[in-house]
Amino acid sequence: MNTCDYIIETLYLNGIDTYFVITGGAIVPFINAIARNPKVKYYCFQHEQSAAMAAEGYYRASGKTAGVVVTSGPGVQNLLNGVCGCWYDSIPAFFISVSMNSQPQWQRRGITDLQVRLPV
Amino acid sequence: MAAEGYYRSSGKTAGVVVTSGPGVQNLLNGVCGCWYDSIPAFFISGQVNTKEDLSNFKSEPRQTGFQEMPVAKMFEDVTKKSLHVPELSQLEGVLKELLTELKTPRYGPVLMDLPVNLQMTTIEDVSINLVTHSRRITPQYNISEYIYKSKRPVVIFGHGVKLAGAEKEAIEFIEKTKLPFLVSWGAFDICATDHPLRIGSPGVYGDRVANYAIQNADLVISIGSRLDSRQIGGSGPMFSPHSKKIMVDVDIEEINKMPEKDVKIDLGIVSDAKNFFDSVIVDGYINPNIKHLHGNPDYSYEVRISAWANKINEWECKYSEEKSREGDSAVYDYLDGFFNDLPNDCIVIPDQGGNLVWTMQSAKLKYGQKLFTNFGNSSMGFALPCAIGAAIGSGKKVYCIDGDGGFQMNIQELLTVKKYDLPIEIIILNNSGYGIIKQFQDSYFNSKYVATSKNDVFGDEVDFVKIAEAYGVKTLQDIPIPETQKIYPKLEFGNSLENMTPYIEFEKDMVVPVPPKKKLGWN
Repeated sequence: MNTCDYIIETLYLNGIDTYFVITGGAIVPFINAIARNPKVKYYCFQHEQSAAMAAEGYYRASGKTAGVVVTSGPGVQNLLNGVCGCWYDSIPAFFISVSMNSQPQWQRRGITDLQVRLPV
Repeated sequence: MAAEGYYRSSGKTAGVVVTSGPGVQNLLNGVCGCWYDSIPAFFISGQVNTKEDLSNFKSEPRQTGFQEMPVAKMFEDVTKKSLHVPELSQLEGVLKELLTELKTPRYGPVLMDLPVNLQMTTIEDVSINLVTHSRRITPQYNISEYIYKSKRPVVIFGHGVKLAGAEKEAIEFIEKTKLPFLVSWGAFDICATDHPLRIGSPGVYGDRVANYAIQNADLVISIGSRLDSRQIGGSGPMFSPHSKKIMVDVDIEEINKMPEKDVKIDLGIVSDAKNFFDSVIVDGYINPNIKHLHGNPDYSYEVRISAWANKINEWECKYSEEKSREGDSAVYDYLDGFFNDLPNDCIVIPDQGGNLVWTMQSAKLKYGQKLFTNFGNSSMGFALPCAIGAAIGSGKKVYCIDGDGGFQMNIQELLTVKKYDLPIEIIILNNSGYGIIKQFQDSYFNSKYVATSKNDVFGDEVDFVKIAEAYGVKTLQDIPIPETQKIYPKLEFGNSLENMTPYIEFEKDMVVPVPPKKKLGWN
């Protein structure tokens, strides 16, 4: 089990089994980990904003919290509107993006360590 | 994003005006694009009536006004200045502060958060003022000594040359000194691609000859480039390890960061490119007193430079043709034809990911043709709105080269293209998925194309031509590219693009020793 598997298992136990995603360079390890876990499902969107707003619709329709997973930079910038929607209307949603801040540390270490160190 | 395209095509700043809440939330991506690529733009967002403002309350509810949010605070980190206008008495001061920031290099976006009731107030007895900023007075920079001692010098120009409006001066500098030069992608269109002293673009996705030149150089003069890791590789000590480095940047922090990336800068010059060209002294090559190194005429500047130029030409001949593309060159063949047929005086704007890399690798510009996109933020979906801004700003023909993934993100702006009848041609290099990420998954995830394959992202074929026609746009071409089409590494043989270790396989052709190899991760 790596970091991503651990997070996904923890969120699953706490009721999150559905993810709305758009992949990108910095979040591939997490989204590939979602796909290899048979207990959870993922849906690909065409814009991160839509994925975030869909999480609100998902909660309003089912009472369940969705995970929304996007890449760094433009990916997470596009979330803002959907996050604000959840914030002002008190909707629970779990957003996962990646920070590039720790890149200088992991770039010297190789992909195995990268998967373990992925910051969320 | 259109404001960025407008500035890049015309040199003029646009205002972007939106409402509070969701309006200003949707700005974030475009503001970040301007911020990271130093593009001036003036953003104005509406805000709730000052009477409803959250700051009137001692309690801390989430929101009191409709569509209210703490705009100025939220945008502080990604603008040069982000200010709320709390009352009319502060308006003049706020405008002056924002305009001063807007006009002072290093450029970037500013934002004014303007409550709705202040927008409906009458003002009397005010003067409308031109805000000026004084240009930095710079000393003279004498870099003759560096050039005089160098045998293998290269210059690298970055986007800062364009931002300072110093394209002409940059080429004059080259023609005076005969120094071979490289351009970052941000400065790709400062001159025709076939300029005799132009080597190419260095970097992870760059030209191999350019990488050879910079890695073997003994003097690197960087002007207006931040020497990003996409250009210099993922390992500082491996970047041009045997060169003296002169770095000219308007932002001292860009120079200061280099030692922290393990790159030593021998001479840092805080200046915009125009000031630098105006005040630089490079007389080593013409000064008869120092023309001959140790009195040996074999080492005259001309002899040294021409030997170096010959070496670069040798690499050019050996590596300019990408042999590994054989049998998988569909997109490269298409783009070769595209650039051959391109009219004079037009603008080409690629999106991000695969279509960007293919376009930059294939681009051959004639004098007057422009090619740009956003490089630092690199958001999918940027090209179409940027093309709209560029068409409005320049009135020129604009070619928007998009991917099937990125085009989806701002597909609604087809309506804007139609409505204003803009001279934009859209070319979708359709490889049915997120090609550049698939290549990453090839390297590290056993080719499991999660959230990148055609099936995962689109399900079935998307008929982009039909969608465009439904909006009334008839200038969209959907170019089928094989799903298996790769982006070829030009930097190194055998390694994935994501592995930014340079020059591993090329020791035999290097003229300087290669530092010890290190096993590196991606990026």
